Amino acid sequence: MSDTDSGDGTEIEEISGPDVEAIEFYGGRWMSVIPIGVFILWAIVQSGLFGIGDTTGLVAGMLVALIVGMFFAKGDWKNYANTIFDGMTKRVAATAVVAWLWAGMFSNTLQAGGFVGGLVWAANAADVGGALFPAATFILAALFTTGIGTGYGAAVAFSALFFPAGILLGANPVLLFGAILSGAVFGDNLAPVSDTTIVSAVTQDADIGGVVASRFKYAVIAAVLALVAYVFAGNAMAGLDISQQAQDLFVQNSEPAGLLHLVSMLVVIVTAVMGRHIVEAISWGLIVAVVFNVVFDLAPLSDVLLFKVPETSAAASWAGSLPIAEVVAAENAGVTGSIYNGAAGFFPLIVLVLLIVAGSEIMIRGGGFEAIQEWLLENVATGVRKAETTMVVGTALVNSMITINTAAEIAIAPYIARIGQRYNINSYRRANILDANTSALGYIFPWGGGVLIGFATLQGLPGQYEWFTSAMVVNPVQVWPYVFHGWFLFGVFLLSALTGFGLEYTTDRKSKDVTRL
Amino acid sequence: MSMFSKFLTGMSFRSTTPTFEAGEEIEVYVTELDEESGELVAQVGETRLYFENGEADIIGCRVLATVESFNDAEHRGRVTHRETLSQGSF
Repeated sequence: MSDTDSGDGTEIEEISGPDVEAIEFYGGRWMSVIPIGVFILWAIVQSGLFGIGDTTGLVAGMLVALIVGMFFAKGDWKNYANTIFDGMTKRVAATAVVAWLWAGMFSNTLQAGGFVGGLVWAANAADVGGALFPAATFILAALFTTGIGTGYGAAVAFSALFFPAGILLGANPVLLFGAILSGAVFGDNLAPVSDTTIVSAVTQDADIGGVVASRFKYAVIAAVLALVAYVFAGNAMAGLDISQQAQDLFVQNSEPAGLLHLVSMLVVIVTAVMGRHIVEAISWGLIVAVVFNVVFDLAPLSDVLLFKVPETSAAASWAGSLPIAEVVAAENAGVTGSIYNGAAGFFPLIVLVLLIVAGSEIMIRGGGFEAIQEWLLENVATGVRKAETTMVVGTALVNSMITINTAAEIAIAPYIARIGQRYNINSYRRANILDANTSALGYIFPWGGGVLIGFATLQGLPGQYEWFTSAMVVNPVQVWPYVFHGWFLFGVFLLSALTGFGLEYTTDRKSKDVTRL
Repeated sequence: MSMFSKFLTGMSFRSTTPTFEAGEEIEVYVTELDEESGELVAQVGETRLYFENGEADIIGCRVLATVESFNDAEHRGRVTHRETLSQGSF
């Protein structure tokens, strides 16, 4: 977007940076869609068709897509190559990267501190029967995901622990798996440390704290409906009759002090909603979590950070006496702990977002982005209600194809921004529409990343418990109607778009620029 | 805005045609150049705000503007461009 020619040009240039060069493509501006188009095709084949939820695989797909697109660019390819650099250094990508790194450290530290063990204790103390267990699981999985921010993590942790316990208590397996996925949707949508929350906020120029506060109303409406649905369905749907006790399984994994991390979680949420920078908010949460881990003996400091010093090192003689170091065989040397693992877990996604933003930049400079946008605005999003409905359905559609929901969110985000800005729809509202479907549908469709990762965990249970047969494993095709929170969240947003519930305009209130994260 | 009110803001069914008061200072994205009048327009929902000043290079930008007049019946208003704040996302 070149905006430097008029009288106000200097002012605009200061905002947007130096003028940029357009890229011409053989076959016209629509051909600039090739890099993103090839990537989407790759993602559909990899995740949708083959069922491979490997983010690094998507990185390979985006690299190939960028190379393929280059062959369609006219003239010197230097311009095309430089556009990749320009895209990757955009602030929108950098902000997501920073927030993810912090969120990763925090969530891993909470898990190291036995947060799930605290929730297990709570479930045991509440002493709910099989009929109410899915509803209780939904609440606890929602709490857990709101704390750690990753629905995939919750799907694994709860499928491994709450699922077998619920089966023993007589809960319906399909409903139980649906409740776990529903909890994952809730937290993925609402948590300030969730990767999808972060992407939704930064791509729409909104601060994360404000986004979380503004989406609370939608999330709570959907959650209350889902909770009622789980209570009714829990009583209506029969469970399996297994003559084993759930108590042992609970007691083994119960750790009441793990509930202290509800405080760590609240520190982040409250600090972010109060308007502090998300880096500051998560840093405070991280500090509180580490202190709780050590003081209340939830996890040693070495679980947070550990230097594995090779025995060949000159420091080997004294390093072992440090609380965050141990001497190991040379081949086992390295760094580990929740801070290390939490940040490292996001590395593939970080590279992916940088490359997708580069692909988007090529589409913008090649005119393909504008062509799609013009078509949408002239034919579909012809009024503010239709624009919002287009945003809801468009996000749903992309998420149904790209089942790694953060990748889908990044791909559709520019359109949500542009269509929304066309009608001056507030950045909070845009971020909320974007994230709701992204969070919901990734855990509904049978080929969704969240469903598959939970399913993979369930498949490991027969090998873990003697009484657990493979017939108890819930197939992804069975569970999709029972992810109640996901469906209600999608419904709430569809109705909101059609009726104007929750609609705010840019003129109503502004997001905090200084805390753009 | 208090922390509590941050959670409750927007709990209503909003009109597609928001209204404005003369003298009101607003932040808007500049939507397009109106084909008939040749003036810059910011579309807020279905309400159209026409700019008294400003160049075409601010289309798509977020700007600070002052409402000079507003017609409730026609959902049309006139505004003055004060300051360009940022470009739109992407």
